[in-house]
Amino acid sequence: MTLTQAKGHFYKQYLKLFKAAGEWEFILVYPLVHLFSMGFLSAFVSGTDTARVALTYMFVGAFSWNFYVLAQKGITYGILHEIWSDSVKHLATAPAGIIDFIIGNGAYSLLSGLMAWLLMYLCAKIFFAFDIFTAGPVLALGLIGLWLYGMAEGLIVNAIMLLKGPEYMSITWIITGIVMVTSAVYYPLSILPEPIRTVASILPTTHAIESIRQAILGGNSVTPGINAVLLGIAYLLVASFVFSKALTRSKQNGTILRL
Amino acid sequence: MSIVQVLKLEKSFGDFKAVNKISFEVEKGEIFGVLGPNGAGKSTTLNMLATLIEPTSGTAVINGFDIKKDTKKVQEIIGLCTSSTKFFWDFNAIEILNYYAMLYDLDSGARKRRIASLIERFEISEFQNKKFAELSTGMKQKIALAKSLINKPKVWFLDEPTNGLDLEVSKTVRKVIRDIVKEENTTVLLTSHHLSEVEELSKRIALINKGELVVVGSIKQVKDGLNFFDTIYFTLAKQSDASQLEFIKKIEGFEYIRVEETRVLVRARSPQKLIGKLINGLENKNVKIYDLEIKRASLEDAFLKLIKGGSGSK
Repeated sequence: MTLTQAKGHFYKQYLKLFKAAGEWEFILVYPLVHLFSMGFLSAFVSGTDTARVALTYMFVGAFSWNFYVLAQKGITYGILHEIWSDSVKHLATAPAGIIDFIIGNGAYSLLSGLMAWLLMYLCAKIFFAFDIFTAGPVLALGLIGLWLYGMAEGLIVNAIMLLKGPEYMSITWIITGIVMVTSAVYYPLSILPEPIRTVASILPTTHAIESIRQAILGGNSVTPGINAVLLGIAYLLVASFVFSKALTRSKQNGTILRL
Repeated sequence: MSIVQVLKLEKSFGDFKAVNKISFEVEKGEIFGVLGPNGAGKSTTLNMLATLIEPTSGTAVINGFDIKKDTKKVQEIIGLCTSSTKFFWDFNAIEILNYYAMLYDLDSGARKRRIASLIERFEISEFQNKKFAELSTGMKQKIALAKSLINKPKVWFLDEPTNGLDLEVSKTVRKVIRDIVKEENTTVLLTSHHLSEVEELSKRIALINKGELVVVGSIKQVKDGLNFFDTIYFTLAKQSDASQLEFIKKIEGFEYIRVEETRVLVRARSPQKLIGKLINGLENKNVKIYDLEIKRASLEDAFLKLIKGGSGSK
């Protein structure tokens, strides 16, 4: 296997960044909207002993959430661009495999996530005196966990679209919403009811966000970060298998012809 | 030597059987036509061979690779072009060809050379920097054809490649098909509704109807297989001479004769062989005739007979 075929997937997304309407919004606009809204909210609640904690929860939430969304988008749009331009058959009959698809689109999602992060870091530092890099090396573990899980979720959404049709793309936002609530993105895990906390404990997003939060607030445990990465790997492996089976199934029952 | 062997290929979508155990072979370097009315199963057959969909049963072997077991190997050596092909609306020709060239694992140097060659062959340079959405149908189809050749396929699947194109562009496309086959010894499987086009390009054809293979062979064999022969028409100078025509039934190649007053219709497998003996015979019997005409059975005639459900031409 060469990387050229994976590069093909990355190349397509890279060109789309400069050509398709709405692509730059994910990197430039939504992250900043999120950051500023959280920033203003945190400014409002500041002035109490828990102000620093609240600020950290909100900003880490904003940073992490956007990184995860971009990780998922990179994989989901790897298929969606083809569906929207009615060119799925060309992708489905090319010899580039699923691994090439994941590597190429995953690399793009990492790049777009890091670009948005850099922009958010600068704005957070300048306007709100918040430095995400005080999390130290644990930050890398958290980001990797978010990236792996985001890709896994993207593959599951793609699998659903392959089997059911592109109209099921909206399931993306449903899954994202559920993950947002259950991963305790902007608040401590302890606030969630017990059953939801159980669900949260098996999501890489929960561990990734918690690891970054705790690192900034003075914790020194790498366990949540490692858990995020290990869970992320597990989810990605399962999702890759599901995606592969969905592609085969769509070729067997002909649903791929409808895309 | 066969480069494509289709072995009892079958495809069902639920209870509907789109293709029912068809088998045929295609020789290397041949242009093979696949004909049939709408919904006959032509595109489904091509889609299975191009690995876009999986067969329900049966298989095919392309250049020694099984389409089910060696899917990636098959994908590396085939190209698929359909009518009304679409690509990313905001990409230009170079970007489209570059993207697919990468998916076919061409390295940077090979991509540049191949794309340059295809741009020249299909005369794409004058619009190569325009967005796909801004191009005419003919320009879009040229890019589609170029893309389907990006990997120099050994087997090239063309599903109605000139559909919707004007005469000029269709002519160019047919010329490119012939050139590619000649220069690169590429094997072509071609479906088309333009029967004259298939007749012009293909040496052998398969006729598919309602998912079944009706007949496969050379165009002459197909016409004979459907009992559709060439026809000789002539007019007798005198109606009474009709009784002198019995000798025609004994000429080799004769199939059928019908006389209506002075107008005579003779059907024959090979009119060229029959015509000389026919004229000699008429001269010997002192029968004068006018308006001798030979009408060749076209593929279109055979095709229309097929879809109307007839197989004889009495």
